[in-house]
Amino acid sequence: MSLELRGLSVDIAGRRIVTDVGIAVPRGSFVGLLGPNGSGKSTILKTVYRVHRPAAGTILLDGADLLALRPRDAARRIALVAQEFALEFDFTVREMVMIGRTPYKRAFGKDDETDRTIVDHAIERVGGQELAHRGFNTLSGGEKQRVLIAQAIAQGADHLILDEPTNHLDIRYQVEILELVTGLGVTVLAALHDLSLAAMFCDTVHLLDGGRIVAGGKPESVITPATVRQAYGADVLVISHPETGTPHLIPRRSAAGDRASSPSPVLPGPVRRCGADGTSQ
Amino acid sequence: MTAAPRIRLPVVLACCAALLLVTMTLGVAVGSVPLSPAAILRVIADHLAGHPRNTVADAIVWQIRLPRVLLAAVVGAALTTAGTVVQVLVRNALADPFLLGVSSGASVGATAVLLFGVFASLGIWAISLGSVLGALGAMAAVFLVSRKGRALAPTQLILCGVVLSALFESVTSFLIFRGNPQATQSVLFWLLGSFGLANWPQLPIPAIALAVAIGYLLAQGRALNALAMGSEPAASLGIDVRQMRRNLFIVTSLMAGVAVAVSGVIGFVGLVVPHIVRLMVGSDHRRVLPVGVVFGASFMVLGDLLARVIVAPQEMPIGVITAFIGAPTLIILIRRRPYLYGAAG
Repeated sequence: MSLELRGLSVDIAGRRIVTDVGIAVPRGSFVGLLGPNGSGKSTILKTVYRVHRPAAGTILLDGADLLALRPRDAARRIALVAQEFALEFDFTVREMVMIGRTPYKRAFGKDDETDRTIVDHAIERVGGQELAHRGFNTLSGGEKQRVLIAQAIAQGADHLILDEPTNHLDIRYQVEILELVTGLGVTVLAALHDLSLAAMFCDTVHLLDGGRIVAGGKPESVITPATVRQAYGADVLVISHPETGTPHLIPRRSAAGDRASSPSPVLPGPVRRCGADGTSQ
Repeated sequence: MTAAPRIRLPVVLACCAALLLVTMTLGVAVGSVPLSPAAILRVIADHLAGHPRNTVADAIVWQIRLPRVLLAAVVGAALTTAGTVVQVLVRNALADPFLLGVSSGASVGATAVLLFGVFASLGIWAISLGSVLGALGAMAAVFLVSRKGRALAPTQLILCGVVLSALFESVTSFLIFRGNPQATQSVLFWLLGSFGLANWPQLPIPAIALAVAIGYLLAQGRALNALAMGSEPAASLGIDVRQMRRNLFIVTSLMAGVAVAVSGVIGFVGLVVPHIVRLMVGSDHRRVLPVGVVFGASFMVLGDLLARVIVAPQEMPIGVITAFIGAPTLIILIRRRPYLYGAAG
């Protein structure tokens, strides 16, 4: 087992946010944390990368206590790809990626040839050569996310923590970013918002509600109308993705039956509907 | 918008060093008795050789202008470095070394000395001691009040700093209100900042203290880059964020306290010069910090020179000059490079 959370509980400001969570992340796998806002996904991830201290439980990296490692040693093994953000003071893309080398450098340590090669490769890996001298704040959301992945690559860690990396991204970038990450061959623990997307990319998922795991396992066994209703309080249909066969969520309007029996009472005049090709019919 | 690849650091540093040399030479040369660079060099050489001459030039250069220029350079470097770091510490472009209450705390101490003769037995050291104690008190108060759990969160730090500053300022106002009118004049002059009291005996201790602090912060360049992304990315990069924030807060506060103790509250340098430097060399702190040291020193020496000559034989408070130069410079630069300040978001 590459990364393992055992009986993890986390308190923030005296309140228990995460209770007795156990998650196993086998080497090379992609494990997803699902759950509504405030269910404790981010808190679990932040405990893994040392923002929070666990109130109880342990985090094991290759069987050894992760939190007993020096911070810089842990950072050489586990990197974070955060949600996109803006910088107060803009760095160029290359400078951003070079920051990934931080855990390898001492005070006054200069960037050497190795660092520069690693950074170049990382930028290339995410297809960011054109962006190298751009300011990070000038990039689009998808481009920023690629740069943050390049930074994590430069960090040389074999574990990646993703905290809702596809938030605010267009559909094209959502898929692109997750494919990029899966292609890296590293072990991934990710908090994901979009259940259908999670089902396409995760080997295992854990569904959280109120800081506890309510279901865990293969996406098709975890993502069901019943569990989604229980955790999210939402009414959904779950179909099988025609290409991947993974569970795919279709939202339902509340009291859909009522509306079906009395068509569009709120829309007077000609009813406009969108066709499958996006044109108005 | 594609930024050009950066100019190499040694080139920028060499240019700034040349600028510093020019401004320092001017700072010593210009005054009611103008002196040539050659005359200045001779005086300095004589002193370094150990047999100073008893000339007017010697008295002017060695006793008056040189210590003043050196002090201005050290304080300029220190305020710039501290300002750059505080802006990262609180993740706010509007921050400066005096934001976190230090200068207003120091003002309380210095005002008490000037108006009520506290520590009178210590002679020339009384004001410095008063302001250092005031600065330490303010630092401790801000630290204790803004601590959330065990961490110093940026927003808490700013809010508590600003609120306590206001409180200390009202204490200073109260002291001035209760003090005698003649002394009030000297308090006001001190509050606006001046290097007029520079002298050799008082130079070494603050200069060494500030130099050590600058050295410490220069060593943090890479870690500051990580911290500039935010506490959480920094933590994931192996930075002990809590400890780093605490250390940066203490070191920058001490620097601001020492700077205020030797030269009063010289505003704007710690706010504006870091931005000017970032606009010149980008935001990588391994470039910003060293360039800021040299450029900040030049800026302050030039400011002090202008403060002496503009209304000669009177002397203008240097805070007036730094604001007059700094504000327009910064506005021009910001308008040319909007993205640097998050305008994209």
